[in-house]
Amino acid sequence: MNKIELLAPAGDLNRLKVAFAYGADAVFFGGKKYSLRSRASNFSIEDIKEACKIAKEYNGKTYVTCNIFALNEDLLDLKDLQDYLKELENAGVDAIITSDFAIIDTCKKVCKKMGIHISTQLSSYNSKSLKFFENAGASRVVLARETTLEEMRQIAQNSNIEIEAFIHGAMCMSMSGKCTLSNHMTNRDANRGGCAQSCRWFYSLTNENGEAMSDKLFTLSSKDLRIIKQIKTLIDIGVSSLKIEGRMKSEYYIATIISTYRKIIDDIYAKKLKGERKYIKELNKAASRPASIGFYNGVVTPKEQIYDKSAEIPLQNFVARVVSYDKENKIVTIEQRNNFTIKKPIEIFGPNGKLIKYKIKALYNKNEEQVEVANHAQEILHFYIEHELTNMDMIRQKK
Amino acid sequence: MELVLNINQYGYSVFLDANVSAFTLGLKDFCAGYEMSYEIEEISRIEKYIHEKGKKLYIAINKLMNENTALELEKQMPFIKELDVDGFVISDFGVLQIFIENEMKEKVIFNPITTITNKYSAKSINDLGIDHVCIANELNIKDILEISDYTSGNIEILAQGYYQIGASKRPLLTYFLDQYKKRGAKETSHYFIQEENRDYAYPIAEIDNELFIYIDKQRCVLPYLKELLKHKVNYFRIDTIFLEIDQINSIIQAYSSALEDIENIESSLDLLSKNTNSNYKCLDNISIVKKEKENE
Repeated sequence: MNKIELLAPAGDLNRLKVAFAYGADAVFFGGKKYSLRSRASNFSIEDIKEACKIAKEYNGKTYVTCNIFALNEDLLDLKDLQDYLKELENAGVDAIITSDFAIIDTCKKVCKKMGIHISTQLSSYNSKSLKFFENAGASRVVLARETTLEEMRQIAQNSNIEIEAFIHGAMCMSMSGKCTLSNHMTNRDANRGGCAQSCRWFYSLTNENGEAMSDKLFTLSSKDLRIIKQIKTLIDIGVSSLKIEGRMKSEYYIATIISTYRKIIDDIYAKKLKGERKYIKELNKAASRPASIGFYNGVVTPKEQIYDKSAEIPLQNFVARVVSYDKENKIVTIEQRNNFTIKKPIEIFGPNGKLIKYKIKALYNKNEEQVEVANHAQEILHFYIEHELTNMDMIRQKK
Repeated sequence: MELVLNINQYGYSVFLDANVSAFTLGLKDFCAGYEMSYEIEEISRIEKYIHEKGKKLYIAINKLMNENTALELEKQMPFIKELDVDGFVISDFGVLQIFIENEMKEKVIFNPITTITNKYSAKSINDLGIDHVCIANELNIKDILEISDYTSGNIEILAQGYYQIGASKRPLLTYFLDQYKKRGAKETSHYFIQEENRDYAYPIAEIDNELFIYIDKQRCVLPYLKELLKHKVNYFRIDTIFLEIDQINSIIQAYSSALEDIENIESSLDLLSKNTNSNYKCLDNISIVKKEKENE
């Protein structure tokens, strides 16, 4: 039996490597064309070739987002689109994630092997939608984030096509692809990669007479999604892929979230999953906003909303990335990412569940001067540690 | 060419004699954004009155449906098929599939809200045998004309009214009022949200537990009507939500006059501004994508 796929986001090649090293089965990312998240660095064709090469080393898959609702000007010459899709296929990309019929049709025409995954932008809430997209040539559909677990069960029962479900990351207040607040408030097209996250801004509410309904300003924002307990059911009902949102997120976020979900999935298959607490504790180390289970148990309650800024909960800092380890002298060289002090213990974590709690006795900069605080951006530092580390390891410290 | 009145609120009878070619009414439990909607039985009674007036009747089955609702719709299809109506406005691809399976695609008016943004997408939908497509509201005039020129099917645009810029399956208004409504604040049918750094407010409505956020000012394509007609855009929809009956009648009058005398658009525009006491987004609104580029 095939294990369910753990699908990670990546904003660049470094994060893609981290995602695979920390346990992702597949990684999705944007190319330079036709992709949302215009502020993510996005991959050139050369990067995509390299990404596919790395994926092969891990026996993993790569999916490229072509998920804008394209305008005529994005498709001035269909040959460009055809060439781009062929380039993706030739690079070894397993599938595109798309929401535009021009892209779906073109992909069907010019690509023989590359799959078509229907983006959540097309709001698939029912098995009939899946049937429609199956007939349209898709191999997988990403369900809308407002689908409940029970609905997923029904949809899976009534469908022949692969299903992908979001399990972690930011949620839109609006139905995906149906929100143009950003277009109208900032002239940034949400459906072409420019979402300004206007739902996270503060609003007042007035009635038809112009009277304020509350003294409080509020956001329309939703808590992030965090699914653990329900994953066993997702496996049982035949969902093919579990998606982590966050192409804009850091390498630290990717490492923390992917390694934790890798552990959760492996523990489920090994029948070792008991309770959620220890996994939540791990996931919270990369959390910046409160989380909930979204629509998994039904329509969200007020508890699933973020009304004010006080709800933000950064708990832990990513403080450094390991650059190299000198086995002979047991010296690790690190690159600073955020300020930290040696007065507080650190946690070093890495692929395959590596977790080391450690207190640095002496920290040195590149001039061999001893420092207590690492407060220079990307400064190269080193310290003694007996545990063997790798350049995929990361260091965090409680705030 | 058709002028279609989308009756999101009020009874259809209020507009029975209005100078429009067609009405769109919502089908209860299966429509979205309609404050007033109708059961299948009611529609089967209404259809003849509307047809007697020489107008078409379209039915909105435009909810994005969860599995149970889609299955329920499927059960209702034999009755829906029996209706003597002229078209069904659909937004969900699953509902489109249901209509295809029921061999009713020739009656589909496909309005997937933000989705149809280019000529190839519109043509792809046409190629499925769907002849009547509503294109996204965020497009500028150039894009609208280009899509219309390229496709063989009928193109529908929102001509006048407030349109959705956000749609949520979260009943956020109820939740907020339950928790934070200040004592004595009067509840009304509609509300407005205003971002703290902006001086304009967006109307919102919560209907059947779904929240809809609308554009701050009505859209108006009257200044472009001649050009749109020249390029064979042939369905013009007026959305009635948030509008008073008098305002709706003035809008209908302005558009029908313009369509009768296309060389005299100015007088229709005058009529519109005098009688509706409202600001419109004409150029601003439909050139929004162009503005984005200027900002870059």
